[in-house]
Amino acid sequence: MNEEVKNLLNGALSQPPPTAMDGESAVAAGRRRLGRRRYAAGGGALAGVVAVAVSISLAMNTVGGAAPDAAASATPSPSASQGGPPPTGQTPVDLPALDDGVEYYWADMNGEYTYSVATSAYSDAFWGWVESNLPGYIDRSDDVEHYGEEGPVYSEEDHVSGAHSLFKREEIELVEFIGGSGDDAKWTGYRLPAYTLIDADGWYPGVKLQLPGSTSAAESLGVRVWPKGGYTEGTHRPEDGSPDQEGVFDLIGCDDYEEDNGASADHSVEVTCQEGVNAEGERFVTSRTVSRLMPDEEGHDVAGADVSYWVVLYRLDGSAVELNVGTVRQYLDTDTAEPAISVEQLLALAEALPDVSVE
Amino acid sequence: MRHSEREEAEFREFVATRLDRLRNFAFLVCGDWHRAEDAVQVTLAKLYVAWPKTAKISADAYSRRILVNVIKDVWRRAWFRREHSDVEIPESATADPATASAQRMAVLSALARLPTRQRAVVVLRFWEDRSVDQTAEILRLSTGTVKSHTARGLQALRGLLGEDRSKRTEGVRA
Repeated sequence: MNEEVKNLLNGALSQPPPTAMDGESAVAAGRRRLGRRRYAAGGGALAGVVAVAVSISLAMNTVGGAAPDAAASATPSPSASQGGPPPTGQTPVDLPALDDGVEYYWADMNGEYTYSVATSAYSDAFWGWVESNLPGYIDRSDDVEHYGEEGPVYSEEDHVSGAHSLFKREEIELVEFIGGSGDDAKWTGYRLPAYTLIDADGWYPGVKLQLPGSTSAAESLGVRVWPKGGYTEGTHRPEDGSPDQEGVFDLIGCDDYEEDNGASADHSVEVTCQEGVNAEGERFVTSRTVSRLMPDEEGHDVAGADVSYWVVLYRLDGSAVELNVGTVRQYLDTDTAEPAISVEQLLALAEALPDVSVE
Repeated sequence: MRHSEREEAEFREFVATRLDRLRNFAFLVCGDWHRAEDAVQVTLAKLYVAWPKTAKISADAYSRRILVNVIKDVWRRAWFRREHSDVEIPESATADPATASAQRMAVLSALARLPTRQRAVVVLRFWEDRSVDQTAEILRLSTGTVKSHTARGLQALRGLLGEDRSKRTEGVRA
């Protein structure tokens, strides 16, 4: 029987078309990807993200969208500029000067993670908040997403338990593209420490939580804490591949853009930002991004969209907490599943994290 | 920071010796050469990133795991553009008249009716001769799920197997 099936499968193989792939091109693509592994919650799972209408009870002002308010679009400047109480003993890092006409981005250091008392404090606070505020959750971070005609689902039979995502200290490095096609990167040697929620395998940032009552397969949630001085407070964070240097150190982007997901389809992404100040006097900016497949060459359009929320809380000690959430949705053509984690909850989670310096 | 010269040399060697096999594997799982090409490209880039952590002994298995997940994600992205035609014969199969045969198209069509991970189980088990345990490890499934996927996959191919037997019998008679 096995040989018969194997023969059938071999018979299904036709002569493959020529390929330009080889070791060199694979290394070049790998280097590029290594450089572009920017922080994004849920890793690959975010590809199927959907979110929801935002209802923010806190006072906010719209700062973004198709035409961001110029007054709210800060130009790059040192962080901790909101005039709060004097910063704590956290030593600020200095951002480097940038060369004109060069495209920069942050790159993860590929698995160079460490744990500390500080990261444990963040992990404890994070999971404590989850236990208290997301009752009945199931951690699906390490579970296989089954995919059928109904969309992604998880199987209890395949559930992996006891392997929670944790905060880890990582160093990210500023790199610049070199070469006309951007096929390579130049590592600047400038590094920043950050505390990032990373899955048990040390591979994908964030955590996937299945929540009772949610119509989605899971919520994809990411958190990173930035050090004092390691960012600017503007709202023009560029997307991968953007030649726009403005806002390269911003933690949030409020400009609409188009993206190439690396496969076959381009997406148009609409971004709407709001900002406010919490009870502690800390400024925050939130965004809602709606990513839609653009009509293809034949004009076929789709009804579904991927939506995600981003929140950045600029803390009084000069550090900043960046969070995002989306949902692993089902029924990709028409579905607009409601995420079970709201913007208010993201803000509350940011506020629940300890005031422990990023060193 | 990029990987060391030694690591990159090992990676190049891996690509040189495995590329054809990975492309064929991807084609059997997704049924489309263009999509397979895209998926292998993305897979190799991801594999490069993880290469220092990927023990050489597990690179083959790890690359399959990445590849199946990439195909699944691309499949999701392409879901609409194919207008839910994933149960139909992939376009590239019909656009290849020189090599296409009724048998080949029937196999591709049968595979296309299976969910991505079920197709991957069939290909890993029978085309790559992986054991149930190995397949479970690669796809991070339980062995029970691998067995059930195998059974369903074989059920989908059963008619073709019978047809194949019949043809071969006729051939003998001729």
